[in-house]
Amino acid sequence: MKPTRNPWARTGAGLAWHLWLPVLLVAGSLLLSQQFSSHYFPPLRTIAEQTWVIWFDGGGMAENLLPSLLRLLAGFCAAVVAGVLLGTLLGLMPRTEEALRPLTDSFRAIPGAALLPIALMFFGTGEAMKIVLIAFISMWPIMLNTIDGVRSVNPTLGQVMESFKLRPLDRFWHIYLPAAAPQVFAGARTALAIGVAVMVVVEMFGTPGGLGYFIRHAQENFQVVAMWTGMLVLGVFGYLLNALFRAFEKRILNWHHAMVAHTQGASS
Amino acid sequence: MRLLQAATVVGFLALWELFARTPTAAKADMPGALESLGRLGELLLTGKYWAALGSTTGSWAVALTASIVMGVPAGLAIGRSRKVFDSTKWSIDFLRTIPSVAFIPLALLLMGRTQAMVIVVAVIPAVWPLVIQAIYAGQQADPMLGRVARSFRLTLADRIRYVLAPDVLAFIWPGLRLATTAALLVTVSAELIGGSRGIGSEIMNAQIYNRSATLYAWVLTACFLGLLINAVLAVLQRKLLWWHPSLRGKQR
Amino acid sequence: MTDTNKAAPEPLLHIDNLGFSYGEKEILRGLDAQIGTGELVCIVGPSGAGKTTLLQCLSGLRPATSGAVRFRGRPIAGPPAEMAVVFQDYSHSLMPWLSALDNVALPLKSAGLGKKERQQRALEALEEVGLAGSEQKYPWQLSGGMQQRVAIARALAYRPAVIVMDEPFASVDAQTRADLEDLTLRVRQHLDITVLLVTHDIDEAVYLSDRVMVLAGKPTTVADMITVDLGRERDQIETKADPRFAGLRSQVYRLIRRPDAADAALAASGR
Ligand SMILES: Nc1ncnc2c1ncn2[C@@H]1O[C@H](COP(=O)(O)OP(=O)(O)OP(=O)(O)O)[C@@H](O)[C@H]1O
Ligand SMILES: [Mg+2]
Repeated sequence: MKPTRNPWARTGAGLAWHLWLPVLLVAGSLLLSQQFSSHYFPPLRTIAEQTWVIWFDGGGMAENLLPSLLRLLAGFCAAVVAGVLLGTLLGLMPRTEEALRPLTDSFRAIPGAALLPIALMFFGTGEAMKIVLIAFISMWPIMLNTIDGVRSVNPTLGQVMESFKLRPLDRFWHIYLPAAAPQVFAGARTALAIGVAVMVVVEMFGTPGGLGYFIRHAQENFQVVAMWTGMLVLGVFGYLLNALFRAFEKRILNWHHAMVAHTQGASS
Repeated sequence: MRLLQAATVVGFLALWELFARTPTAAKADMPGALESLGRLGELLLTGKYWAALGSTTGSWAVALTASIVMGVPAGLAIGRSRKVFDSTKWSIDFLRTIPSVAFIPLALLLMGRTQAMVIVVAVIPAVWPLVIQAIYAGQQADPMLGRVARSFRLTLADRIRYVLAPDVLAFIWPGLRLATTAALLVTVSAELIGGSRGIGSEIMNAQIYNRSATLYAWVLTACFLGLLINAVLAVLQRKLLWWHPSLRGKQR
Repeated sequence: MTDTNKAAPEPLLHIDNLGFSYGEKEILRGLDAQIGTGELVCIVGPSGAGKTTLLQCLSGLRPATSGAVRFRGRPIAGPPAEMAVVFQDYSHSLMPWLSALDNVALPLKSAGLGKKERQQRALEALEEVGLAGSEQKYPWQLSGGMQQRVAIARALAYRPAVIVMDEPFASVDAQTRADLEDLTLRVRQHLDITVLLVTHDIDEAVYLSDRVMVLAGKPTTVADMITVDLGRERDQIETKADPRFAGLRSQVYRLIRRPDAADAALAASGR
């Protein structure tokens, strides 16, 4: 079915199709911003230079990027653990889950930022507030997807577990978790995006240190170029995180991808 | 089950009421459930409450509508052509991972504390899931169905109404759900950070002036708004997509 | 056969007036049977008769509504550790995220065996069913017959006293089916396991069994327990060519058909 042209030529053409627009966009905005730069839209070159000065030469990485990364990781990991555990429990106890549904529905319906002042009152402006809020808000999609994933375990597998007397821990690690994994990862991907957004917001209100803090601070002091460098770094940060997460997901779910490819290959 | 669920809500409110009396809660100035609900009742009678709620809902609705109007046709167009898809893939992949809240300071500088600022910022996270799902729709919308439609000589209007629209809608739906929550989250965040009128700024003001019952009343409002939006989505899903295998019989 | 059973004080498995209903719907009524150690008993009956249900009651996956099943003299409450099940729905009874080897080894892990020993046992079992070399493959990379053999290997590695199989060869091609039947006979011979096997293929039942339990009626009861005196050694061609085979075969067939015939007669007389 596949075309049998020279693979190198094909890859080259594919690469060209992928590349031309990003290149054009970057080049275009370089030129345009050089020509029509305003106070709010400084030339890209200036932004690039200042990014180097602030973030690489001036220690911005250690001061503002690293703390963001660490607290995001802490919050996100807590969300994954809590979401998966709660989700598994509720998935296995359908009646309890249904009884608790008004609460779970309500908590996930709250637009997370609305909880910020409450977290501020309970935990102050420090690290605890930031991590707790990131974890709490990004937990819900993971939990809900885990519930669905655990329920999707085939009833025959349920009988296999029974008749071969698998221990609860083995059931969790070898049956429920792998069965739910594709859905858990889908939830975690959403959760990561939410987590980054919440991270930026809490940093804007919390103690110094962090990307959100840096951007907000720059904006309030009308340091427009610095603000732009912050947005640039944040953009790259978000992109890399997402890419890393996908690579990780692909590794963990390789059986799943292989199976999908296999069954599709067999049917076509 | 309904009874049990009602009991859960009552139990939660009772727990809240009890917790509010502990020293931990007192330190955080946490009001009880009754006080908060009472405050909410008082607020309901003021015009200011409805103005703020309306402002948030309005921003959210405009942002979502704009995202649909822009994102869906763009995504469909991209999905129909392999070349366009390849060309835009990396740009879209990069742009959609930039956290939208990062744009709030820029938008504030450019537009000030206006509702327009909130709307613009809320469009950013809402448009991407719609674009992505519309791309899938463009790529995969069942070609078989199209052939069936042609072979029965349906008119163009009927083809759009009965064949294309339901199929595309099924693809777009997950994106729409993500878009609604993202738009609401960012609307409230933008109000909170930017201070333009709405639930977000009311919450912030209540905190600044230490009116904790008011604060909790507004958080409850945000929660109810989210619940209402989810309920509307669920009803729409039942009405429009009851036929779809992956959604059939699903509660959420 | 009943004579040999009388010699033993208590049979391995004792089905005592067993009844089962799904809610209002009565499926099984008053089933009695005794199965001795080392026996191979096939259960045949029409589709929907309740064969799967019966196996689930026997293996402790479903509590009986009335009567009891006793295993080594004790009533069954939950799946006994000495019993292993090969499920009808083999494609869903294997974990797609585990290799064949890990699928076989997982129950051994839960049983508390060390890593080395469970590897060893799993490999042996896979070899026994002729899957040496495929142990690192995932279930979905194996054919239907091979998947079923993995499921059988999992049961064997568990070293149960009783293997319970629910239409284990229903969805494989004729050649694989014959191979798996002979595998079952061989394994039973080697390991001296008691086997309970559900099938709705009468030839298969007669070919494999020491005794055939025929289920029929509505609600289902045991129509008869037929002793298959064809000796322990069976051969796909010779055994099936044996005139006694044909006789047993039609005996079972008539038992299964009888209720239908009665129904037809009733309908005819009503008209
Ligand atoms: N979980 C259930 N709830 C209600 N009724 C059921 C359930 N499972 C099976 N039944 C009914 O019980 C009867 C017996 O089912 P069972 O699966 O035991 O039959 P079977 O003899 O194994 O059939 P087959 O040969 O098709 O596998 C059928 O009429 C079926 O519809
Ligand atoms: Mg069955």
